[in-house]
Amino acid sequence: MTDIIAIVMTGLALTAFAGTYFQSKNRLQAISVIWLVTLIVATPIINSEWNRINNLLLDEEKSHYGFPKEWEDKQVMCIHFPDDYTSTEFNDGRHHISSSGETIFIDTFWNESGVCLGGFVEYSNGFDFLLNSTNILDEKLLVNYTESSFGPYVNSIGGFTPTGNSYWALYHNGAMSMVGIGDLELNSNSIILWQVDTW
Amino acid sequence: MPAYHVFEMSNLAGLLLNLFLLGVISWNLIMIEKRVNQGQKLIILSICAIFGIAGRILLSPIPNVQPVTVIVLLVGIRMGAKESIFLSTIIALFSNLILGHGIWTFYQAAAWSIVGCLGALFSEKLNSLNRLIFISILSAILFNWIVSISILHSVGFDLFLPYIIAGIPYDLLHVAGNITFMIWLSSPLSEIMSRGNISLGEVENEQISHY
Repeated sequence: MTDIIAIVMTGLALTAFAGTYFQSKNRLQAISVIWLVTLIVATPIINSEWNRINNLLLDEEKSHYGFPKEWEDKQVMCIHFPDDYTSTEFNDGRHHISSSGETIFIDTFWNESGVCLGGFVEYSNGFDFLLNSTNILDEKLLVNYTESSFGPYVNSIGGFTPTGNSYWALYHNGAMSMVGIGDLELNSNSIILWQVDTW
Repeated sequence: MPAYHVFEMSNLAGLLLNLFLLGVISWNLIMIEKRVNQGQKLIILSICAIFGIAGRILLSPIPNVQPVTVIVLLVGIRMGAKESIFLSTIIALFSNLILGHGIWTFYQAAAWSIVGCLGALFSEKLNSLNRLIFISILSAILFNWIVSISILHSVGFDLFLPYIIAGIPYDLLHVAGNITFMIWLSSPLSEIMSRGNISLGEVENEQISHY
């Protein structure tokens, strides 16, 4: 949101300058170009915000509340980074990314910052879903894990490795998962959430 | 949001479309030729076409900002409906040789033609820059919505309204682009076009009076 304020302020400042520097017809020409360029620069932000307003599932009763409408009844993988971690890619809100890797919108008003990948239907195993969905964003959302006798254990996601008594906790449909990601059976509309908890 | 330009035509449909575009260009060219007693009008139309094609191709990295809508509108106002239909079809076809040709070419040509005809229809009333800017805003939205109809070839009607709503930021870009082009182009283009409307007799008399 601060970006768009900066862009509009720059536009206003240039308009004020052009308004005093140029006369009559030239003034109109200069100001029209300034506002056209301002709009072009602001379009990606306006477009993302417009998509958020239009596409956000606002019904709090629904399990997929806060996600794009097109993800309703589909599988979603969310990673919420802790407040004190500044992610290089995802610190300006929660990014909603489609199964083809396109950013649908960035929700800067959401409480947590992070990534949600959604719109999947085909996964039945949690670990396949985690690796394949995060793979869409390549190294931006790299998952490091170690194999143990209980199945795979997730060490770090997206460059964040919890230390001390904190760990990447796995939630399935809003409740803490009783089994590890390797043994997790998915529904056709499962929501997987990774967030850093402490024990 | 569904992607633009996803409808693939069969060879026959593509051929029919090309023939249709060619027909529109030739027919209007003949109709203009009949009523022109000297070549100047065609030269001006060619300049407008080259400018429109080049402008559209060169500005294609910026979505929806291009001078074609304003050029076609001004041609409709200053020269007439037939001229604007001719120009719309030429520009849509030739710029899409670079930008990608398909069923949308028809909708773009049709939409620009409608914009030009609208200009021709209200040419008497469009006598100040404010009114020209107003109609250029209307034309931007009209053009985008008409071209949006082309997605009905690939998606159902229930997705049409969400598609239109999702495209509103891009409509705004077209509106802003049109306002800018109208402010910059209205007087030079109107001046060139009004020169094209002088008949051969008038030009000769003018030249004689200079001697």
